Amino acid sequence: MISRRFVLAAAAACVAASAFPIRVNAQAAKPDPGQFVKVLSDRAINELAGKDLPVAERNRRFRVLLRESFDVDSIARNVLGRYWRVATEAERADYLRLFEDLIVQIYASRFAEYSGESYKIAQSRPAGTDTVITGEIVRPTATNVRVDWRVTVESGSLKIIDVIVEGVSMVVTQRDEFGAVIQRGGGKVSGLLDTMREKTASLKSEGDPSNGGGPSATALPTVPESRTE
Amino acid sequence: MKTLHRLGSLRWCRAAVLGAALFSSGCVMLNTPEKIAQVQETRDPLEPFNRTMFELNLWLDRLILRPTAVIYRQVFPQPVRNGVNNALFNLRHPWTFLNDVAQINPERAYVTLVRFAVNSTVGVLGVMDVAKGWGYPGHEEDFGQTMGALGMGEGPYLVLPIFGPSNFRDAAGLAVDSFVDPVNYIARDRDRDWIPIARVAATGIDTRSRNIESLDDLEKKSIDFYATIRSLYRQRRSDEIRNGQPGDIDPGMTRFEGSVAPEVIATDRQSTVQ
Repeated sequence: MISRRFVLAAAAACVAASAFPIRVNAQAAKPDPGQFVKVLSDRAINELAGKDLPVAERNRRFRVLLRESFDVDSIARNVLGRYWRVATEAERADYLRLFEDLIVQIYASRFAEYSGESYKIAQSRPAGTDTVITGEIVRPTATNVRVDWRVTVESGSLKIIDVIVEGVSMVVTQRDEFGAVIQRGGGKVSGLLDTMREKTASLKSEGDPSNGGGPSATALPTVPESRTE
Repeated sequence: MKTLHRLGSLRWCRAAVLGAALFSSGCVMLNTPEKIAQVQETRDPLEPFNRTMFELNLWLDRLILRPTAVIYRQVFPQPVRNGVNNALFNLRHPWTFLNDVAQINPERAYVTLVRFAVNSTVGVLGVMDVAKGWGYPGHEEDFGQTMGALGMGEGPYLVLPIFGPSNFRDAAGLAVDSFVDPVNYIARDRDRDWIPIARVAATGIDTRSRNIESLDDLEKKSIDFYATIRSLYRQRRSDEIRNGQPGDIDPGMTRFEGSVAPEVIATDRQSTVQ
């Protein structure tokens, strides 16, 4: 049982990753969050899936989608939480840049194993001033994965501010992890920045075949047989 | 008799002192406001102890569980492994049913009952999940979830040796699961004590074999693997207790506009209201 729960949680997060990118169809007269999520998820699967895609190209496309469709700065600040206030101006700028780089390194490669998936919307519900779109990634050969998107309106266009997979929020997970790193580094944001820099560099060199490492497409997680609901 | 009694209590005393020393050395010392805030945030006052346990579990995983899972996946073809997974899942149904009932959820209890009846017979002892195709998708409940659904808090986070991430409530739940689970109960009653152990082992290998790449990937990409697993465990359990229904909106989620810090926005709002 040990690893059943343990592993379910872990796997859910991995899968979460896979659902990250999406794209804005921004300037529509009255933006519909559901339509927005549908278009973005289709485009993400079309553009990022496939093992043949070179790592650098997948990362580049992922970054484009990320910037277009996600409010990355808002996500980054939510992730840093209360430490945003104690960070210096220079640290904040550094952090925002490192955050985007790390997100690209973490999530882009998880699309390599995709093929034949699509996103099916179940419902849309309000969450404060935001909208949460709930639905499932329909997978031809495996169990479906529950994915929710938190969509906000940012100066007239729609932006994703969180992705929740099988009940696991990407923002909350990253916040808990970053918080732990800062606390263990004696409460200093600079410690986190160093760790982020190192991790991004090591993931990058691993993903770059010219550096001797294989492709970093460690594969889309075998989605957990998550029966526990 | 008297001597024996005294000896007994002496031994107990020593154990208690030793236990207390061990316990306190594994606690975070709450001697600064920062440490207190940290424990409130992570709900993990036993973090030093937990991190040690976590490392031990990782070591055991690399040494035993992961290699076993890799071999298992190489030796047996997918259909066989799916059959094993289905059969183990089916065996958990009676206990899930009782937990559905305890959570006063007759619809889910009914689904679990139908599934167990259909899959144990038509599905050949649970090897095939026939009921799923008939519109009865499965779910799982355990006693930790039942206590959570009835309003009990999770308590401090706790990493159990071998069993991994847990908390005080779920650890107690796990003990109840193991003893009261009807399949285990009947097995023990008939002196087949190996059955509960075999189930745990088989479930461990089965689950691990389905998550080899995902866990490798997660570990590789984490900057604090322990903290990531702690966060995932807590969120997944909360989702399971809610049966996948939406929870409270994350209070920490703030929209940032310009460079105004959130507390400034909050103050502004208050003054406007007043």
